[in-house]
Amino acid sequence: MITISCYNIKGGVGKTTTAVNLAYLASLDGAKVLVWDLDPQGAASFYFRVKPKVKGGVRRLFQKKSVTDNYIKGTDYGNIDILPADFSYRNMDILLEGSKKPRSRLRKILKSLSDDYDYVILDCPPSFSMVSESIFYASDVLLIPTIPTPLSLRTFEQILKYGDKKILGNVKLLPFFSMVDRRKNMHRAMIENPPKKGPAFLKSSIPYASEVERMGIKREPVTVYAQSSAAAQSYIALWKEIKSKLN
Amino acid sequence: MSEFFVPGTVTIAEFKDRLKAQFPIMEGAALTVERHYQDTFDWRLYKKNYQYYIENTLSGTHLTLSSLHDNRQLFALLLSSPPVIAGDIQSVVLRKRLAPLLGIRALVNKLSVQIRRYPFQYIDEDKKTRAYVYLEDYRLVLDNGKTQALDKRVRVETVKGYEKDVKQIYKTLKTEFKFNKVEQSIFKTGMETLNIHPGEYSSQLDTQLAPGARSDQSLKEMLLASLDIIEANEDGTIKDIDTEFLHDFRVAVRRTRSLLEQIEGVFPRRILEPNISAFKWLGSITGPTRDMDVYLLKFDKYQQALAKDKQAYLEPLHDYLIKHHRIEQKELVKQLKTARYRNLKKKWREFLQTPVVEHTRLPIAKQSIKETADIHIWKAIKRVIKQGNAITEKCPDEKLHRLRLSCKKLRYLLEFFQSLYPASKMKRIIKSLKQLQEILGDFQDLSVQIDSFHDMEIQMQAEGMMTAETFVAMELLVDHFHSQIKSQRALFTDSYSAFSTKANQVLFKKMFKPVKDKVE
Repeated sequence: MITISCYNIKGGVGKTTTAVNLAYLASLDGAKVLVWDLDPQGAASFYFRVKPKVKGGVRRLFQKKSVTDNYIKGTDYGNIDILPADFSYRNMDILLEGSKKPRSRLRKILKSLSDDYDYVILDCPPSFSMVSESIFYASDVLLIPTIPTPLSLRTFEQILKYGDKKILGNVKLLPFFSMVDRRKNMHRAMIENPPKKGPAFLKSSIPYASEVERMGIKREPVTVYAQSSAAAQSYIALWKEIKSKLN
Repeated sequence: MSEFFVPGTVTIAEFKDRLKAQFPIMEGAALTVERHYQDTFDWRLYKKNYQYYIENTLSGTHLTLSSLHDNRQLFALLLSSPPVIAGDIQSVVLRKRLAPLLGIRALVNKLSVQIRRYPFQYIDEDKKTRAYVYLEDYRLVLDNGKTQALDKRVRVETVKGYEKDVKQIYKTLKTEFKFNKVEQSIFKTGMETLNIHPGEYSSQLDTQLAPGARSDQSLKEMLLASLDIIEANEDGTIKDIDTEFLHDFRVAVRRTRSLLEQIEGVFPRRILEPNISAFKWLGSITGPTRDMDVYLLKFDKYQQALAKDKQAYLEPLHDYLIKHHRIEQKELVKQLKTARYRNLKKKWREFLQTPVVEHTRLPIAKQSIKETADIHIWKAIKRVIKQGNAITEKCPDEKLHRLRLSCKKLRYLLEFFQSLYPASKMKRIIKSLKQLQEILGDFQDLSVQIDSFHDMEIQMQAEGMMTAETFVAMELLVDHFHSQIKSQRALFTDSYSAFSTKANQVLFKKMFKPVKDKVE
């Protein structure tokens, strides 16, 4: 099982749309995929039309040593299941702080699913907290969608600055440019000259596109309803590149 | 997943209207799909109580693994193409489930049904599907391509996390629609209809012999069973479906030849001699393809034996093996389509099916099969023990090879005649012999591989398929084989001691020593 986390300290950078589209593309490869919507806002759950509710909330989930089928919901795509969001996830940090070995909590829970899924994709909340540390520790890959703007790049640098070896562990960092508007000089310039420090940005990027925004109306991955669109094709290229990095 | 019978009087339109009146339903477009129930040639899934089917649709290959016992779905996945062998499966999760069941065998079609499907989705206020309801009209696909009506069923598929909704549908189908739940899967119904007996093939000889029966009669029965195995594996060998067809084919050929060579005085020489030659020929024409199969099956291990940075250097060897496998397979198919092969089988079957004559001059023909078995097994055991005891740390490799051949002959005899002896004791003896054979077999394989790697190096060079890196990698493997040979020889002493313990020797004597010898 490979755990891929869509993560950024900053919100609104395309984490959820990436998580949902990559989950769908992985499923097309014949893989069994679980999306864990860790963001209390529950956008990934919304896209999959699943109610953002976990029985007993995060407290009960954390009491268990494994995730049972009671918590997981099947989506409309046979190969994809989801562990939905819950409003109680906003207290996840407090719960983790108060628990023994908080860093390994998520990893332990995910381990119980290793025989059931090829990929687990975590849609992470925008923060830098104990939850994030637990996510880093549980992940094989940290996908970092980054808007090519100075502010976004600053948050990327913050991840690298604060996320030292102790915090990030062995997780593979894969930053990529997201919500790229090629009409903007600044976006173009930043893509042409990506940060030299830290892990290299992936070659694939995701454009800023109204097709992606329509996911909120369609409640489907863009790769389902607009397969030939530039946005969908970008996700396909991105997934291909990520797979090559996994190998 | 549960299924319900739909009475013949219920029309599709009526069912649809009644379902829509009960639940928020979204109707999909009706479609016709073919479902292929698959298993390995030797029914490995069925024997473990599984049924497995694939359906090819526009969205890909839908694969379902379920329990044969209660039709419960255990695993479902959508793939881009149907897997043939476990190695084809990209999903690690699915591969982990299927690989231990399939081994190296391929999945082949066992039964096909044509389904006219009317799909319905039970949706909630967010238009999320909470259950799938399918009205399905099943028709069995016959060998001639025609179809035969089976059942009309309603199948309800659960979506994980929405089991409550499904229970509601079940309840309605039972109480409101008055439909009866079906316990038997379409697979079982179809097999019963077509009179298919799953699990009937076995590469093992399981013919039950009567101890007092005449030797010639019993041997004919055993050899006929062996011929059946050869013929059962012929099609799969020709089509190269998986490597086990040729393997089982060859084992049955070798068993036959070994029996004919070991047991004299039962069949006339004019029958024995040409058939020993004929089965020797069959062994020789199937050998080269099997060699390529073995190298290809071992290829991953070859790569793993090298350092990671050198593993890719072996790719030209893989290309060479694939190329030569194709050449050898083509030649094998050519040979299996000759009149020589056809006549061999025909005449051999005719002989085996001819009833034995009452009066015969052949000295052993009328002797009881138990007596014959005792004599030959005892002789073979004595030979193994004598040769085994003579093995020393420094004796030439040739002695180990001779012992390997003697063990093989003994193994065939034990397997041929196992029904004449207590099952548990035979199992114990065969197991202990098998362990010894594995050590000797590995030792032999390593010696053969050293020679054939050198031959292949020369051949690859001649065919322009060799690179300097590949040559280095192959030579590293040859070094690896040499070091393994040493450790394998060290293992021999333990496995031989385990086979030739005092307790075992007492058991051998008690079980197989012929009465005449016991009296002496």
